[in-house]
Amino acid sequence: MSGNLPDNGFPDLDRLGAMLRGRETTAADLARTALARLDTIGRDLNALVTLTPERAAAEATAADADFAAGVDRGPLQGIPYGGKDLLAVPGYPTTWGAAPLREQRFERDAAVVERLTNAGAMLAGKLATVEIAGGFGYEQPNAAWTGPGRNPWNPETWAGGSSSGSGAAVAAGLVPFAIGTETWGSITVPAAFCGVTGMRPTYGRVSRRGAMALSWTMDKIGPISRSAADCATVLAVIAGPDPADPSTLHHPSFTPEREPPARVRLAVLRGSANGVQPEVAANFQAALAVLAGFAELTEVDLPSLPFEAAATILFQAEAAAAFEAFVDAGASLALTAPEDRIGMLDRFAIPAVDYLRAQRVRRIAGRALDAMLAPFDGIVAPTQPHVAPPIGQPFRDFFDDAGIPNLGGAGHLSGLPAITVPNGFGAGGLPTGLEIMGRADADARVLAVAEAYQARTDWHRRRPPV
Amino acid sequence: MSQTSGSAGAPIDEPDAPIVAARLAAVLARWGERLDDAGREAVAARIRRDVQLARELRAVPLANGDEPEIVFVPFRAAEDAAQ
Repeated sequence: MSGNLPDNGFPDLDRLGAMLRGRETTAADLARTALARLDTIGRDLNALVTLTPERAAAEATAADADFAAGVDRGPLQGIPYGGKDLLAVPGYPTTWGAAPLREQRFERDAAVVERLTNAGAMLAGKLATVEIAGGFGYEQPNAAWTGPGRNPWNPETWAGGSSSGSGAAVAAGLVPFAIGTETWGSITVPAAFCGVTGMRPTYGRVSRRGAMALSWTMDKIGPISRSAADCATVLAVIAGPDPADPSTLHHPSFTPEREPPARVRLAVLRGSANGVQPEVAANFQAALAVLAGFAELTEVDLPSLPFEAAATILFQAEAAAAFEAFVDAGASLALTAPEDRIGMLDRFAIPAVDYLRAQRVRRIAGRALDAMLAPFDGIVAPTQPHVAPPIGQPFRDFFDDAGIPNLGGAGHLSGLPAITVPNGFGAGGLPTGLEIMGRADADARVLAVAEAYQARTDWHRRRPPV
Repeated sequence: MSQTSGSAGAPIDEPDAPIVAARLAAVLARWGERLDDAGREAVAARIRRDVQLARELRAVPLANGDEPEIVFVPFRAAEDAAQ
């Protein structure tokens, strides 16, 4: 542990940058700290797949040399991070969380890793994911060859999925930030369960080249960190056009706002706190009271369209196509979760007409949703209706969320940005989250609203006892 | 964790039974040897959900001009690359 860092992990990125530039610490010190914490606490939490000490050391040497030479590559220079093990990194396995892929290797960095390297960041480890990002329909936490992701707030509860390791590693102070991916909830759910801040950018904001494809029209890559400000800092580095991923070519550049507009207008999803755990409802009401201090709140309903049905058909058909060879070869039979071994088969019988109908509904739904959101700077709801479930129990036995209005289906069908911020603690002393979702390309506005919320609360500064 | 539709538990109309059976037959023709009785029932349950989701989508009126949210761009190599 570097002598200038707190015992429970890393401070925020601004402070780390000041320490590096003020010679209070070095990139090599920070890399060693991250590697040591990942190697011990990270393994205990099943958050780590592969430590990357050689790469971290080389990147630390380069960062410290740049500091010495007066070369400044920006706010991530000399900052260690972890990347979800869906991201290709040469020299190390990229397992996608799946036992049959434990020796899979790639020859080129994923685009997001490449961008972070160019910005001077240091990859310290590849972090755990639910096998195949949960794409085979897992129904309980033990669905990765590295074991169930354990929550730093209580290791007998789940860290969430599919970016389990990214959420847990940031919460436990193993790295200052991590990269996650999200097809449907895979950044926001683990971030909420682990009490950290997770940002799902607009679809196409961040290049998917070199990341495992689960759903070509729904996969997103984004940061998990301790605050919205840190998420904005990371997103500014990893966002941008990439000819290798055509989905990235049609967005305005991303520039953090840091301050929301003088008059903030937020929609509140009607009924989203009905039927949730009592503490989740109470924390949501308390968060609304904070938001009301700087925003005008208006209750709304989503347009009456089958968002979830369309998103589910799209996701399922695309995942089946992406993993047809994997299933054909029998590799799926070696997955960890028994339900995953047959979880894809039904999707090969989805007619092409159903897929195309979902794409046609998607166009109508996206326009209806945008018209509804147009007067607002974002829409808010509880990120999840419950706290992290226990390890070793099917999800359906823990909580029934059927019928509770949520932003998931609409947001993912339409590729909209969303952030989750900690907003308190619920059953068992576990964190709860507030989700803020915006219009397409309103990533900066969503982050600014979240920063304004975090300027008035300190939930994001709480740390688990690890 | 959230990769299921909220309608997964909705009652399945009896008229869907032949469609479910046909889709299950297609799955069994390809991977039947991998499935025991419990596995077949699990796959059938997922198919019932898929059919119900498709029914929800058919309830949305679509005109002939309502295109899928897919943009096809004909490919042409950059001029310097083609030379």
